[in-house]
Amino acid sequence: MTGPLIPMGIIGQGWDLVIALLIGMAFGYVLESAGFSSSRCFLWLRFYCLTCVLYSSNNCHGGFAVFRLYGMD
Amino acid sequence: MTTSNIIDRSKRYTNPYLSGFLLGMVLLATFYITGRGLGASGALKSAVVTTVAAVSESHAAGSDYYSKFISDDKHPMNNWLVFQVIGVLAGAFLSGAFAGRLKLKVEHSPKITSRTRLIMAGIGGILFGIGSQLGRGCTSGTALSGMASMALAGFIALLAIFGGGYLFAYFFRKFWI
Repeated sequence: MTGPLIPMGIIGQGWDLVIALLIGMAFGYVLESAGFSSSRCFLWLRFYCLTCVLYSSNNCHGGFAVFRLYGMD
Repeated sequence: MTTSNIIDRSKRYTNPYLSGFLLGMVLLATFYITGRGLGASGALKSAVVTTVAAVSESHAAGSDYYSKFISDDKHPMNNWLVFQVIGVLAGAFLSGAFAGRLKLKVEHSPKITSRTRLIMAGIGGILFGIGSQLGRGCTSGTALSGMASMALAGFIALLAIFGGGYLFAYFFRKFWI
């Protein structure tokens, strides 16, 4: 399916801010459940999470992240 | 508190590797649906512009910087990132509520007081705000979204963020460990 959906008019511009709210909620939910609300857990999580974010988002784009950041291993 | 204690505590949360994957999926969905990445500092910029315009409209209108974000037909807060950040707050609140983590507290090292922690958090926040404007975005906007779109600036920004963290962690570790 062709994307991006809103710029291509597949989803109307009127939904833009509603989708912003929903995407934000998903983002916030994942961040909190990962421990980003705890400043002490956050120290380690940044290292772990960013590694996986790079792999998941880049690989699904067809690109490839060529480096990996290690935390406390 | 040792490193292993911190890891044990973090077990109450989602597995960090899974969380990273899920964050990547949220970012991917954002690109696919909206054609743009995630961000946070842009919403704060909108709030600053709105505040300045409310306090002194003539100053904001006469400023080369603030005037770029002010127009008669669109309020600065009528912005995609503002709504996204409102969603972040709501989503985080829901996650905390479902997991039973909703509690007002100041987390800090046993070596410092809550007051010191809050002061250091404020200083860190100010520095991060300055850095986000120098880098044209914060960790979410420049680093994550930038790297996901294979932007060189995103890779440089993240390396600088982590590199800076490694460089200064030794000197400031007593504030959080």
